[in-house]
Amino acid sequence: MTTARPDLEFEHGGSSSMWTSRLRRRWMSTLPPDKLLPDRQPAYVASWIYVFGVLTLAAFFVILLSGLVLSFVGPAWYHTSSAGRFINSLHFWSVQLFFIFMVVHLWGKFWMAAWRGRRALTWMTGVVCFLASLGTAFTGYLVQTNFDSQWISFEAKDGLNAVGIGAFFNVANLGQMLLVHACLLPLVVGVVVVWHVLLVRRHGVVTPIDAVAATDPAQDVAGTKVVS
Amino acid sequence: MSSTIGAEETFRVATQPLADVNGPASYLGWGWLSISVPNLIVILVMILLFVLAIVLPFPKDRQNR
Repeated sequence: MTTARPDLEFEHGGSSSMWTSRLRRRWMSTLPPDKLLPDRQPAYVASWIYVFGVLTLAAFFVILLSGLVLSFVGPAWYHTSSAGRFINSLHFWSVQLFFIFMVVHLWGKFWMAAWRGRRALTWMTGVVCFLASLGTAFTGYLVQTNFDSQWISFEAKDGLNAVGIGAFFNVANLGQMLLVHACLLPLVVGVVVVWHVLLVRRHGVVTPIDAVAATDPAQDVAGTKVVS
Repeated sequence: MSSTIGAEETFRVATQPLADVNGPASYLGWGWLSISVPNLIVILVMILLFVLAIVLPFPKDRQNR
């Protein structure tokens, strides 16, 4: 007679053919908890250039939170009151920092050739994230509801009409631009950012170009030490 | 007449921007290249950050010293 061990069965994913069980097994083999939330990194990660990815994420969270406040209270508040102007400015300047950090992160990863070692999808999700962020920032400039946004939209419409997309992406349509800016594009950027981070967790941080591949992923290229 | 400035004046001076951000930006041009001064400043800041991130030593973890 065998004794059921539900804890062990859960640990190994079980043998059920239900889709939840299969999904759990797949998740646990692809991204186990120690990979998802690691507490140690290779020694070469101890460089300021590796900080810019997480700085970009931090700026992104400030953008989301300040944008959430702006969307709930509205332009009658953020154009007139001191607190409203502060949150409006916080939203604007966190976007500037988001792009500055993301570009430095992009330069760092480009010169590391960070697509090496089956990391092409990580690189491409970063590219998509950058492009979607450009669109989000552009529509953000269009929905400021001031003379600046009016000027930008009427300059942009000629360019967009010239490439033939002005009929379904009308920059002079405030309602359309507001929905694209506040609903569609943040969702796209958010999903792609999560995907990008999960891929980084799965494949690990790319090794320096002149490094010999370590046999143990917990060890650095010299095989000496890891940093917390 | 008092020579000290009031709280309102102090706030006005402290919050005064370094440059006039309400007017149009100044532009620099070399031949076909034309760039606004704010954009040039942002690009130079990014290059400076990139260089500093590579050159500056990263603080070591106390456990690994």
